[in-house]
Amino acid sequence: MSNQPNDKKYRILAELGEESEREALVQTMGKLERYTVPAPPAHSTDELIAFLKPILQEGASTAPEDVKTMPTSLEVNATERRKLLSILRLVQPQAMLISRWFVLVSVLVFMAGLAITKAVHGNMLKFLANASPLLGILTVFYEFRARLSGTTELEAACPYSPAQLAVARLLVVLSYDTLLCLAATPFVSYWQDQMLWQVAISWFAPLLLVLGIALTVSLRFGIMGGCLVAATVWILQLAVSERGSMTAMILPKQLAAFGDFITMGVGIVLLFYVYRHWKSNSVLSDEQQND
Amino acid sequence: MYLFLDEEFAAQLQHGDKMAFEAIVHRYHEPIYAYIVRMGSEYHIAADITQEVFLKVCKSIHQYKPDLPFRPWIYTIASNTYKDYLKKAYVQRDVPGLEITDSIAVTEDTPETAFLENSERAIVVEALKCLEEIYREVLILRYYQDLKLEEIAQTLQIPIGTVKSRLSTALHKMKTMLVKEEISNVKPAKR
Repeated sequence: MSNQPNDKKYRILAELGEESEREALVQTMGKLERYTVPAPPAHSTDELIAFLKPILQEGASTAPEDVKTMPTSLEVNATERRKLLSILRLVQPQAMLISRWFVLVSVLVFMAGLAITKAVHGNMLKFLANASPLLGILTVFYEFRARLSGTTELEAACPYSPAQLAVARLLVVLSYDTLLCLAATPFVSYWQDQMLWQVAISWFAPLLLVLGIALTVSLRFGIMGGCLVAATVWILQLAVSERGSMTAMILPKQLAAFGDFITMGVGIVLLFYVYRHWKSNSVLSDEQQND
Repeated sequence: MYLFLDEEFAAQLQHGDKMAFEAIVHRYHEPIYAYIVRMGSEYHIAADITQEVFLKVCKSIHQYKPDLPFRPWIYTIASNTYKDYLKKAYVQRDVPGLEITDSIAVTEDTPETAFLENSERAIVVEALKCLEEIYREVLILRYYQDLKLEEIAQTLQIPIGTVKSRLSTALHKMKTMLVKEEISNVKPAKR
């Protein structure tokens, strides 16, 4: 093992700007050298050339036809439709990840919470706005729990891309949480004497924000880390809930009235960022390949 | 240092130059094969995937732009072909490619040296096997295939910052795993 600074190992560390544990990492890279792969037999290269030459000749004679033209708008639309359909097809099996027990318990706890709040003459709107993020965190954790079991590689090998799988799961989470909260909305609207859309926005905005935070953080710290950070934000929100939403408190007074819309916007931006990240890290789809 | 650049050969190959094709195969057969093996293929499957990679090179060479570097282009094909193989294998519920081969290299050393070397090698293979694919591919491309960070970014179509952070994570994870493996590895290497 060479100790020269121009050694490959030191060059790699310099590229990464790794200062801590420098020697330990150099040693690690030294150990990597043990993994040698025997070269393919010399004759196999000649066999490969002999096998491919006729194909090369064919390719040369048809070269002008092979030149790819820009896809027409119809082709682009068809591709987009295919991608959308494959995600929708995935939603059903991904929905099966949510067990009946989870549905039963979450619905019971949610409805019981609303009933108790009503019985003690509490603010049902506040209950709904505070419960929807918690429901979101629990559903995300439950739906994405496979990531804790180290299935990433297996999923990378499945016919759908990891991005499609993750989007399908996100759709399941959003649909389930929205349906449950939506079912409670008319009752809350009636008892609290609020407009339907106001009630809907009051739970939808924090739900989107918390989902956005959980999934964004999960890109770096895993789904457990994402859910923990989102739960911390939720607890902070609970702590200050007497004084209104955290977003409204952070915003200048003129914008405070639009707090829910801004919260919703931030949530959507975060979810879009997560989607872009999933997409860029996903296995390249067949359309992206140059073959 | 080669007399002719890959890009020059690729440009000639676009005009159907067989000599250029031979040169490219001679230059890249072994690295691509080693890359596929280290990514987790068994030797005989790696040979098939490598053949598929060069078949794709033949068929899509007209889409290659000679003003762009050739190495990331061919490694993109190799990476996609390997992942495609994993997908197909999974659909057929036959996933030998997911198992990183721990086949023991043939050496001409004494039995004791060979055993020791193979057991040390098996520890590295085992640790690489445990590394998530996103980290493994970056580590293999940089350390074993000697691609530059920019080339890895082009190959995997990710930002260079992501390449750096993945490589750093990969090295730290490997360090931890190798220490653990060496401590626990009192038994002989798997055959």
